[in-house]
Amino acid sequence: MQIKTFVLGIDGVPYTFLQKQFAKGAMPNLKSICEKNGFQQMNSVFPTISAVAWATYMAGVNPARHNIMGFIDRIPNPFEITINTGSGRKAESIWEALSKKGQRVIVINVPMTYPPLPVNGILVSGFLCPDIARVSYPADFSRYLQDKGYCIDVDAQIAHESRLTFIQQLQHVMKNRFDIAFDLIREREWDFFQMVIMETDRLYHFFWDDLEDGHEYSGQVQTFFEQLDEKIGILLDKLPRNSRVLFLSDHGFCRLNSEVQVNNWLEQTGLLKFSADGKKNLQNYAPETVCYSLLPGRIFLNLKGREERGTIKKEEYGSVRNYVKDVLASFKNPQTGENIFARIFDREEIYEGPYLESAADIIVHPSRGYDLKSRVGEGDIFNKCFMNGMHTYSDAFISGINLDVSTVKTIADIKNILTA
Amino acid sequence: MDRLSELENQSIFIIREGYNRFHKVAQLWSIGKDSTTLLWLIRKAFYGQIPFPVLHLDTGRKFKEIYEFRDKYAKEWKLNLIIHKNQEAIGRGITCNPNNALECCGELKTNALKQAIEKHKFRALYLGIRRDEHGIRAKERVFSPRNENFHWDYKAQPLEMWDHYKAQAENEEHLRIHPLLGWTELDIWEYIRRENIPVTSLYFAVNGKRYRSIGCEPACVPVDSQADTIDKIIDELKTTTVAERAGRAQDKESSYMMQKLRSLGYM
Repeated sequence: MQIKTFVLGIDGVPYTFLQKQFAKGAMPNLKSICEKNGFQQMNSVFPTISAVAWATYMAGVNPARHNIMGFIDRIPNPFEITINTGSGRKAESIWEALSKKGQRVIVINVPMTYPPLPVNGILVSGFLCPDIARVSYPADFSRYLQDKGYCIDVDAQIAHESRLTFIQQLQHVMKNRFDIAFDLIREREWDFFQMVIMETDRLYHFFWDDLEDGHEYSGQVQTFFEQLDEKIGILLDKLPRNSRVLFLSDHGFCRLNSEVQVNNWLEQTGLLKFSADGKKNLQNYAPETVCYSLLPGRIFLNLKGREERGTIKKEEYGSVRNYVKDVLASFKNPQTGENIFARIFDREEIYEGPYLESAADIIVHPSRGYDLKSRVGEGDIFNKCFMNGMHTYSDAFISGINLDVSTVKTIADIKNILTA
Repeated sequence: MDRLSELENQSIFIIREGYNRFHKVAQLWSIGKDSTTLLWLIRKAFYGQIPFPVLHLDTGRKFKEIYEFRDKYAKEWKLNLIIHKNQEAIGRGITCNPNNALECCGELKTNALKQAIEKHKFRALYLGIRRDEHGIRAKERVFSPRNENFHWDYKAQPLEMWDHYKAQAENEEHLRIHPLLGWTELDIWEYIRRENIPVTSLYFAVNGKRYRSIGCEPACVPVDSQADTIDKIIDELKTTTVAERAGRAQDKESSYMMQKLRSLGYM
């Protein structure tokens, strides 16, 4: 009989966070797994955002080979902001590869799997799926989910209204997702089972201060992780002894000190300009613009022949890009003198493949605590916001039972191990 | 007064109020049951002579029953019918494609509507949307402003407490007027039955299937149903657990996604 593989993705859980939990004796089930098997820090992807990270995980290649560069993208000419969905992915996913080999798969709640594409088994798409009626392949499986009270995602809007309600819903939805997985483990035939818990990402975004400092909701947040750990314990009991089990996060988290509105800063430096008449928005950038930014930290040059109002000539591309990078490197926090951008890349330094052209010309990665945004025309460069946690590149984690993960350096390296 | 008469009165009040304020108005008619009910109410509000145009956004891919119905009743009801197509997008080869509903609906409906508003300088539009259709529509108002970029700022809407409507618009905005906002799918069918309003045959079951919600032919899937009369449809709706728009591919996907991304700070 085929050895079963179960992958549990826990969105955004930092390696160092788990270390602290284990040190204080919390989360005993995951602790014991990590102690007995490998437990490693893992790098994510640039830009460090779940859409790109999970796409990179499932495709096992860098973004220039799978073509998902962010949650949003732009069509350069005529200029338009678009939202990426899974149908833009150009490289085969783990479950598609396994389906081809005849393995039965069950995939639940991986971001960027909407619309649900066919697999040999069941796929329940994740974040940004707008409607439970269209959440699954096969389509009629959605009725099973609805009967069990399945929820795709807790509406983050609730966090703006009642933080307590938000945590309670996160707890409920996480537990419900596990319970449905437990039923499927027992009821269905499968060789590969993948589930992603998204609620952790929401918790860290909205409650990082409560976690680190001890605030009003610290207890509720800790309860969430205890509940999660309890479910992990039950999960192991339900899987056959010889199963291969993988635990991972797609990126880490740290405290968000300030949002940085990169476009507002580009405007201040004169690199981004808007026509005098009309509203300030990216659709309305002026031809004299040198570059503009999409979230997070993706800088596009206003290249002639590509952009709607492009003015930078092809032969000037290299020199203009170097100039822009110099300007980017000079961006500091006026109060502390700290560099805002820790790393500044030409796209070909970090990407390689046939879709390199859809990537931004320059990708910047922030110093710790600066979350890169791309608001336009609302003045401030630095602002506090309703969230207090942000993603980190270097602090994701991975741990495997009956799986050697010692060769995994980044999230792109996992597919090979699972499909070998 | 019974519920249907109350809904009818309220809708007719909204319809007249909108026309009084703006004059340069039009009704968006998709030929579906809701916008046909709205058209019926507008005809009632103006005693059979609608003093403004009725606008149909033609994607070129509607069901043939829709086109037949449109042409028949445009004539019978003496409508000032404007048919608008996004010729530029159709020229680029864009056509209804359920796998890329964001693009085709964006071009053939949203952009087509922008063009029509621009061309005819409409200040307000009547739409037949209802709150119970879809999650995002629950946040709608009866008088709902859109700015020049069509952006709907759902967090900065006028209050409409106790049905006191804010029927005002800034100059750069156009207003969407939703006289059916408080109606449910069941209200619509009961009203259609009471008033004997014609609807296309697509809604009635043939060989165990019927359409509950209609749009472009490639993007609609019929639901299992034996309801081949209005009475049976009403009975079915009283017991069903299937969502009304379960068969629709596009369904304002993009505005839903944007709201999600915005609430997480990703837009």
